[in-house]
Amino acid sequence: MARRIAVRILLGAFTVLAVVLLTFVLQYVVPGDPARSIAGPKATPEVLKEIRGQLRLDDPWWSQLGHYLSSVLQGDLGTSYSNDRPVLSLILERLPATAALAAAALVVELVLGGLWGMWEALRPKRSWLLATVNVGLLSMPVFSLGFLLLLLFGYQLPIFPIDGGSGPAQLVLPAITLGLMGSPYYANVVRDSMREALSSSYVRTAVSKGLSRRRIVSRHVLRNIASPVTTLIGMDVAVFLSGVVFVEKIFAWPGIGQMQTEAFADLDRPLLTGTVIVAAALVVTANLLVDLLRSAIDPRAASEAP
Amino acid sequence: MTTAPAPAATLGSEVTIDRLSVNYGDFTALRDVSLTVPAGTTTALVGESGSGKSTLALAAGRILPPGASISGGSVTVGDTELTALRGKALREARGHTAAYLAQDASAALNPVIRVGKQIAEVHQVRCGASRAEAAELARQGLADVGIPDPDRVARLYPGALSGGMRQRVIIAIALAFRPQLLIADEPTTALDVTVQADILALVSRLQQQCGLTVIWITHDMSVVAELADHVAVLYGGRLVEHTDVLTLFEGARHPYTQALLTCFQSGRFAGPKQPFTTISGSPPVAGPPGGCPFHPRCPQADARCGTELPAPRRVGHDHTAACHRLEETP
Amino acid sequence: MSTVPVTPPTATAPVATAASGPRPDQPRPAARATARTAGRRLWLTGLCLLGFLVVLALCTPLAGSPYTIHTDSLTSQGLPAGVGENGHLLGTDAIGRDLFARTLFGLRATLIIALTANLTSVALGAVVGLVAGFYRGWFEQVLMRIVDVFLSVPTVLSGLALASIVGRGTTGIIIVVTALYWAWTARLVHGETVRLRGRGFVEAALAHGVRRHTALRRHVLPHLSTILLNVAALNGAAVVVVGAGLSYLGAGIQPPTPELGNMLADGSSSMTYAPHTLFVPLVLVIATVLAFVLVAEGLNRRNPLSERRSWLDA
Repeated sequence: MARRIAVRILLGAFTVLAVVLLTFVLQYVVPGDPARSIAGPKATPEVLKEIRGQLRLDDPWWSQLGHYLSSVLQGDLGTSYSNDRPVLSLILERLPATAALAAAALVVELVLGGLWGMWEALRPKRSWLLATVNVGLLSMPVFSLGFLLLLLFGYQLPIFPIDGGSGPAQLVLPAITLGLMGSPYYANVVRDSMREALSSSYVRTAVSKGLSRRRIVSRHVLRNIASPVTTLIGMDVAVFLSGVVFVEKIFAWPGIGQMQTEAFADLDRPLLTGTVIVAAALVVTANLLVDLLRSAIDPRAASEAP
Repeated sequence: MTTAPAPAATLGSEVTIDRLSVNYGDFTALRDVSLTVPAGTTTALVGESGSGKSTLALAAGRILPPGASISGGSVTVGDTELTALRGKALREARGHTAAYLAQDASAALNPVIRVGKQIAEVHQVRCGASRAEAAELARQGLADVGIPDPDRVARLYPGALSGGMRQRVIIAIALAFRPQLLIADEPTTALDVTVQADILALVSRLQQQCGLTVIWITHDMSVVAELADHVAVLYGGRLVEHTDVLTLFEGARHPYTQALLTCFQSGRFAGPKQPFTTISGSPPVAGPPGGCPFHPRCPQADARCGTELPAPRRVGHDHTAACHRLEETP
Repeated sequence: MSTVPVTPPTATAPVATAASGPRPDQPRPAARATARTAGRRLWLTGLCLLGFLVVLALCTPLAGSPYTIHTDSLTSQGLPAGVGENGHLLGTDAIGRDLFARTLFGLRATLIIALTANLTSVALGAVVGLVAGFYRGWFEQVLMRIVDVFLSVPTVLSGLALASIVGRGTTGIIIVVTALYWAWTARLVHGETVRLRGRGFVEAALAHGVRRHTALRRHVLPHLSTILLNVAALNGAAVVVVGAGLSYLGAGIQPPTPELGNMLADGSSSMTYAPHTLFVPLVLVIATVLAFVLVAEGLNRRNPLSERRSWLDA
């Protein structure tokens, strides 16, 4: 068990390191002069040379790599081109807003998807209405749903403010958008794993014990689906960090997704790659936590290969 | 009746199965099976795959899978007509009246609940025992089925136990009900021979101690010889022969039973180079043919066997068989 | 006991096998057949929808030349949809360009990106997953760790970073989307290959001295083809969303060349007074994703797991 955790931590660290390397390679092999992007087209050769010196752009590649790695390890992800501040502090400033959005969306999809999946699993027959809603939501790109909700509840029936603030009232629509998008995935996982449990021999044993339906579901079935649902939550961190880019742009929610869109418009490479590194670290950490949590919930998970 | 040991405490009740039929949709898995199991004795159900023996056991325990239904007849355990029960009464009768021992012990235990808890749950739900009382009773139950160090085992998850241990846990769960009838669905098939012997010895001992009534499903004639007082042979969803165990081995009357016994003996006693004996043909899959279900494979079948269903007939004391040609066979 | 037929065991069924009792997780043939028919209807619908969209995209020369889609007009800005009015079938956008022609061109661009990127990402992922799963060893370890790295970067965030490096335009976005999605296919195909390899028929073939790549071709690939279809359908849906989404964020095909994603960006700025400029491209994006989802869902319906029956219904 302890060895398994150690292996997982090492693999996670390796993954983040590989992402860092990848960002370096991409920046190094790609043509284009970062100094010119910073200084602008009208800069004099002297200014360019000075900036190149500051960024060590004239050093050999291995020296640049060493410097890059050591600064990333010290938490220095570089300085933003566009507003001349450390990338890490910019990201940390925006991260709470994204985290709040993700947490609210997680609540929406867990409640909605969980109830939906349970209800479907307990029905003897498939519901056509729900199957249609399921396919409909799966085919709805996250930005489409965002636009629809924005038009409906932002403009037509102005219930929720869409003024770019970051209060709880502004959180509702983006959280519902992200949560609705995720709910069919939860519904499917809950339904399938619950169906599997309900048709298993151990539920037959529970039935033969003469337990009530409620007790069988709450004591014998739900515990068995906790593990797949937890896995899904872990995977969701990556999904959310993608989805937020659209949702934050549509609803003007000031998180890292919006910042990344702006960084792209400004071609602010340190900020763009810095966000990717932080996001990868978050995803890896989340998966590690989920893995630990699963080992705690499900005795079968503890003996899996790392 | 051959053996009826005077039990220390009689737990078991007489079981009467009367013209029981079970359907899976359009498919009739069991037709008009009648059988009586005297209190405190063991009846073995034998037959090939698809003969209906598991269906009979599940129907007797009222835990038929979804999609299956009892289409006629009745099962009575003691004073309770199980087949008449619905809803809450049925739920309470399950386990308490007829407890079921599953074949696949590893799948039949919930993998994420501690073993002790799975036994204790029975005591909590059935007799309203407190958590501590139930835990103590569960430990006692584990000790009763011969599990060493029950305190430690009670805290384990099923995944940490061996196959034999899991089967003991399943038995402990079934016994926690103090059931009137214990239905065992090939509980030793998945185990290796030494463990199987241990489990058989355990069930024998428990039966002697508590006077359990047992219906034991098996395809293994050595288990039959060791454990059963009576034997019911099923084929194609029908009871073809029912007798006590001595008569079965010495004077089986139905051609199918005779074939089964020959196969068993050839497998067991044949010399190293002897071919195994088999019954030619295969059991009916898509529903039994008209007439006697066994007639396509029966060496003695005549025209009548292909059209007319033989009714079970008394052929001796405590011995019935369903065959048209009984007069001609010795 | 005398007249028992004695036959050699080869031609007959064994007398007594371990009989498992009836279980609800084995759906009856009828239920499985119904599920298959319903599934076929679904994926055929999806395929027809996709075919219709492709034909629609091929009709762009009928809707107008590349010239017409750039013709703006001060006098016909944000016209609503309706035949006969100025000949604009779907009206005009915020600066007076014909929405119908732009939408068809946009659809064509989106489909080219989605179909190409789907093909490249599934092909790359399938090759990596197959090779890693079949040849095993340290090679597998290295490949799968690389897959893990690509799986741990959130797609859209990294897509923007990547697009800033490889550049914008059709080729750029195809490269970006392929880089973001190949690893999902690789992981699925790898898992499936490892599972197949452990099955008796592959081990038996290898034990009989069949060469490795022959075993791969004869015994693994045929089993993988169904999985690959399913993966391609699911991946296709995701690729459409991310392709159009990145364009919406400004990373794909650049305006004024129409693409459904950048038309969404245009439409979202004029949605308050001309909502059709948003809805028309939106409906087409949804229809494209729906086509892929229907195929995936239809193929998935054949999986009998969803037809398993619950003991609580007993």
